[in-house]
Amino acid sequence: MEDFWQGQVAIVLLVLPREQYHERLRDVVSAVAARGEKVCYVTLNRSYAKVREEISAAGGAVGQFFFLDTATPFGSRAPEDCILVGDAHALTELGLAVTSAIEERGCSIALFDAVSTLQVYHPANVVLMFVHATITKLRGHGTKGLLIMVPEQRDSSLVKDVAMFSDRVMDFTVG
Amino acid sequence: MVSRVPTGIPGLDELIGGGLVQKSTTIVEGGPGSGKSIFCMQFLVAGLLQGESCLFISFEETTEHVLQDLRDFPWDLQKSVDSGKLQVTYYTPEQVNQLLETGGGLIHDQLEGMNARRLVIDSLTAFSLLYPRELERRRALFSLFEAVRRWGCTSLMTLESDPEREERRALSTEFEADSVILLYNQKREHLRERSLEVLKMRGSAHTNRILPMKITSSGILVYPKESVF
Repeated sequence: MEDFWQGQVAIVLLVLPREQYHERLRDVVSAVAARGEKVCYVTLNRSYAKVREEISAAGGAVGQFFFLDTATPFGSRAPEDCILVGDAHALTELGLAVTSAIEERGCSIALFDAVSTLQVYHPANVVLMFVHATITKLRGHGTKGLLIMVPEQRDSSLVKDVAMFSDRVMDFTVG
Repeated sequence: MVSRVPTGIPGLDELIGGGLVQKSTTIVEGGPGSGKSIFCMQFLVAGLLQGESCLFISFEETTEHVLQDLRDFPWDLQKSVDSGKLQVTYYTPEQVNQLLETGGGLIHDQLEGMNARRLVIDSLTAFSLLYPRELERRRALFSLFEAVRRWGCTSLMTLESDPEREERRALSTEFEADSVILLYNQKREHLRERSLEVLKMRGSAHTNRILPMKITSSGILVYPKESVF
């Protein structure tokens, strides 16, 4: 991953096995936190508060994270270090929030936990369009991207398609 | 070189060659709650900030209601009204019809008296309801467009419609106007997302993309580099 941290590899797809998802994710988050860079954490599964709590419990510096949260219902009071997108249906809104995190909050890494979840809300082609537009945006801003996917969540062909747009695929489901 | 009038909508002007063509007529079209009136008033506020005089003609709401509806935006419209730079005038559609039959003199005098550069007419829908027959309606709208062109302001006119309907057909008014801007407030499952489309703009190269739009506490924002999903 050193070339990723150095910025020579911009977009990495991490394919995690469902049964080890939480453990592997914790490792990824710890590794990201250890770099000391400003991280945009896009949480599509769990509330911002829960993720924040876990990072803190693992000894991570939560102050270096900025959260985009589609899991907490809209209407809740947005904390300063988070944009409540309110709903994973709102891909346009999520795209605007990613831009805000990069341009206004200075995030140099974007972590998507987990891209696969979007398939619960959108057809695969829409998810793919969003991922492609987001990767283009990250590249345009020189922001590094970590895309987490859990295969067989609906259709693993999405993993193959997203892999096509990524610079590197790290598949933890094999071997 | 064509003179351009900045719209005052952040993100929009760069997509339409720098602004609306001076003295052109633009229809701002959308469903209820799509932001038509906000768009139009923001356009006038951009003029006020440049020291221009502006006229907002409402066919639907009284002056007090228009100002009341927009009070939450940081535009201090009352101050502009008090200084005479902004006039918000309520005419019933019948009054306007009578005015048009006599050549629109009263509105012309009002525009000339204040040396207005920007004009908003809100809305064409209310006006066209006066005419149940299609032919009469077309004639009346044609007269209105003729008058607006004669008055020589850069003009916006709102039109209530549902741009999302698949069977949407071009309205005769869209052929009359120089430009048509559609405002969407599209339903996606259990939420709505706003977007904007420049359907037509004579004399301007313009984007063909539908773009995300937001109504914020400071007005409408368009995101030219973002996508609608």
